[in-house]
Amino acid sequence: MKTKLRLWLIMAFVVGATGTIVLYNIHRPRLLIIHSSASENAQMRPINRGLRDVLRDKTQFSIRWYYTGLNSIGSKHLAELESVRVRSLISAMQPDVILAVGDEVQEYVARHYANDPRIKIVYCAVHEDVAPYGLDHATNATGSLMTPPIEALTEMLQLMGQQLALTKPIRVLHIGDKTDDVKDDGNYMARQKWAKLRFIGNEYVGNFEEWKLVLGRVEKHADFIVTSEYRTLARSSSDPALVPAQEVVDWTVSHTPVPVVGTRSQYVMDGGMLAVGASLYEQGKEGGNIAIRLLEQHTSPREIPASTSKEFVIAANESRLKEKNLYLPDIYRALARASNNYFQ
Amino acid sequence: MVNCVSFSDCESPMEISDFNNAECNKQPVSFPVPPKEVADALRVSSGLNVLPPEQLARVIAHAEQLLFHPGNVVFDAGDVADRLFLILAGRVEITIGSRRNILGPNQMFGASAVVGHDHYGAVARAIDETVVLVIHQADIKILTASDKNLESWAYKRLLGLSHPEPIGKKNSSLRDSDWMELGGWLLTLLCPAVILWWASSHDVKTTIALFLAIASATVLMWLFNLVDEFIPGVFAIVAVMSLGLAPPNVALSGFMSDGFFMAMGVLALGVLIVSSGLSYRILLLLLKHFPDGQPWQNLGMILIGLLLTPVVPVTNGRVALVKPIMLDLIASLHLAERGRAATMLASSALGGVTILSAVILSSKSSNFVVYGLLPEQLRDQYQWLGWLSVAAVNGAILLLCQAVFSYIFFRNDERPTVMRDALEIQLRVLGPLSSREWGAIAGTLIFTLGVLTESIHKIKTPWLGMGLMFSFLVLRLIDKEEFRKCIDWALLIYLATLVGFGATFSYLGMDRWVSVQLGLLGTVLHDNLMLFLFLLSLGMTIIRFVLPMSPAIAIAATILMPMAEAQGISPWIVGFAILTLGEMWFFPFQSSQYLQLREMPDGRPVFDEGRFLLFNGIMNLLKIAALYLSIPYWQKIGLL
Repeated sequence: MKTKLRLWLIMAFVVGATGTIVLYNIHRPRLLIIHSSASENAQMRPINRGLRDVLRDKTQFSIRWYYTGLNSIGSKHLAELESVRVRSLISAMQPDVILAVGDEVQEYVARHYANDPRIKIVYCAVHEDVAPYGLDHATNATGSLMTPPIEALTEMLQLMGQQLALTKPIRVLHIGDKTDDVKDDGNYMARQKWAKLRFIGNEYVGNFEEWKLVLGRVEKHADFIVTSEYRTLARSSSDPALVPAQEVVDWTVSHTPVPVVGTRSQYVMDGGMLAVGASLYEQGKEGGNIAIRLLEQHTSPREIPASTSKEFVIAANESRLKEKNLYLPDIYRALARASNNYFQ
Repeated sequence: MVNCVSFSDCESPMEISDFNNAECNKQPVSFPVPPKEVADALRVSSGLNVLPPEQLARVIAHAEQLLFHPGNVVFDAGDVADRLFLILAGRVEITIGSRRNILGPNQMFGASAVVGHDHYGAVARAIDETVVLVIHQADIKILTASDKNLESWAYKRLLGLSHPEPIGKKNSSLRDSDWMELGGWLLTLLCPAVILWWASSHDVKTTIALFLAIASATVLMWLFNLVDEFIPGVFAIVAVMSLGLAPPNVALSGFMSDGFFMAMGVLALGVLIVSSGLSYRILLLLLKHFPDGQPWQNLGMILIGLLLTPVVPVTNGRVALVKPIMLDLIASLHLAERGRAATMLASSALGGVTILSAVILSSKSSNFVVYGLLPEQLRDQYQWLGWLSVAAVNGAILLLCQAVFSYIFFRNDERPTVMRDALEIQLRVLGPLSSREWGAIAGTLIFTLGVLTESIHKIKTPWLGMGLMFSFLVLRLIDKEEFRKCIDWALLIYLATLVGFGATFSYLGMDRWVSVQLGLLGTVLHDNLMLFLFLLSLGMTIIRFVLPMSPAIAIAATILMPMAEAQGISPWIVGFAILTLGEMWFFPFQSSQYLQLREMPDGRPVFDEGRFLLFNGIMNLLKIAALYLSIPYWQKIGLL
């Protein structure tokens, strides 16, 4: 009798514990974080750091991370296949919120869930605008947009202009490849006020030969070049092979007579002189915070307006700066060092 | 099929030699015990229940049931030992010299037949109408060939390690423990539910409530001793991971900790030292070469325990090794049973294996738990030798107290001398050192030298231990079977899960919450260490009345060590004090090591239990005093 009672009690405990765990997990808010990159690479690390900082103590959420690699898949067909895989995962997991990081995830995944009442979408690290993905008017989407920090960039270029003793209004040209991201950035820059500087326009090039040609004759038109993205440059009009980013930057730095400044910190990691870009850490943190609000407060995405980047990061290479007779004031140097973006 | 034979038609009491008597066997009667009850007896019998059921089923086909009348002799001392007996009904009295033991249903006797003795050394006589199941020699061989558990049971029985208590007492204690267990399971079931219900109405964060529910079930399983010590930890980690309360690198941090690997390496070394026979040889050599006289004999006993302490990281394992030596010594020295000399020797035996438990890092699992809870920078500092160097003064004080106070407390007029001839014969039987013993010696030397020269070679102790383990395996000094069976995996899991549980506790911010709740204690810790130690002594004494040693230490360390860190006091000191004070016990039920040492075939210890416990109580006070006396040393080395 006692043995049976004991067995029943143990069974009740095991069943009770298992049941509690299962019930809790079933009702746990689910968050799926989908990245455009294939893994946590140098570019994604600041975003993930921001995400982890805000999600660290949110153990009540069931959080899953998924790296799609969509930003490096060359073919549209493969990207579509990956899109199907991710959507199949979403269908199985049924997340309450999808946190889509990067433009490609919006293009291939998030847009399929626009206005879906079962899923809320948070986008982050998206360049300029989500209208191309149909998320601008979606009732279930909100997030954080990443724009070039024009004010900070203006200040920096003015400072550099003083160091180079430029007297006339500083002329700035934007150059980049022909991707949508670059065009978004270009359009955004064209709409901004550049204070005492003069933004003279955008140059979108398809291959490395064109890139060299544009930069070769740039001295006559511009005092500074601003570049955003150059990873999809083909070798030439006849050779579609992509040119490695480091090769593009190396050539640019050594052959361009005017200083070239990036709008993403990756430019300095590729060998560039200086970059003033939107803070990816802020993007991750902001995206994470919006997701938490949606999950915890059951708020509608419509009630949370999309935000744009406010913080910026500086990345610098001291030896490259010296080559152009430029230097970075201590305060900027400290800022670059604080985000591990200062190279000697 | 079971053959059922009755001896009811025999007029005289039966002896084993009569079993084959055709006169007595010719009239089998109907089944005296139903098959279900036979099967139940086989399943619950302590020697047979560990065997694979299919083996038992195979062997049972050849077993016989025999009926004995009151007073009938089942076997006599000197009879051929070729049968093993399981009592199905009735009682049997086992007599060895002047010792008497009564066995009842589901208990076995005739262990001599299992270990290959030619003759029985005891007399077995039926007290009531008794039915026994007889397993014959051929079947015993089948059972021992497939599994060593039966052999192990038999050796323990012959060494007097697993004799049951008298039947009446055992049945009553079983009833008590049954009710305790039922109550324990009921509380384990209800308490987490109550916590969750309470939390839902008191605005407590869900994750905290879930963790508290898990912690309550875990502690209750420990408190009521419902399952093996390591199982509650497994439950806690599985629940934490399934609920996602902490990431794997936190909840499973114990499996990645230095302490885990250090324990594994030391366990491997311990396995080789014990299984090669080296430890036994050293024990004999020590006894042989120590001068006559009680102080020396006791010193030898303590030294044996001390030598085993660093290499056998389970206190009960060390007690199992020294107990036969202690019993042999008491018998060969002809010490008066329950006299002061025998009690002193018993005290030295237990003191030797326990007194430096907190001082030597590798001596028990709780030390590794405390080590795992140290901040990372301190873990490097308090590896094996570092730990010993800061705890050494405390250990020296305790050793001195044990020696001096036991000499005063157990003073007596007995003048025993060691039977050196017997020791000489035992050593000759062991023969020259085997290759495994050489391996164990080399391993111990390398480990010791490695620990002492760590500042030169920069290999940390855990990896030194693991390197040795690899060498033992590759040199086949420890084979795969031994590695699987002799390494105490349960202990390693216990250690790892406790560390992970502690890390989860901190990860969820519970340590900060507890610090706030125990704010006054934190202030006392910061302002007045003396008072804190007093309060801790009091608290640990109370906790130890309800919790076994390891969980009590683990829980106290998990709560108080982070608090010490927050108050700017070395967490090692608080951890060490918890370890020392957690070992204190006053009543037998509080110490499994003492119970193990006390357990004897006739249920009566060979020493004076009252005096032993009184001396133990004095030693507990001295442990507290040793902590206070260590403070100036800790201040001198900058720890305080």
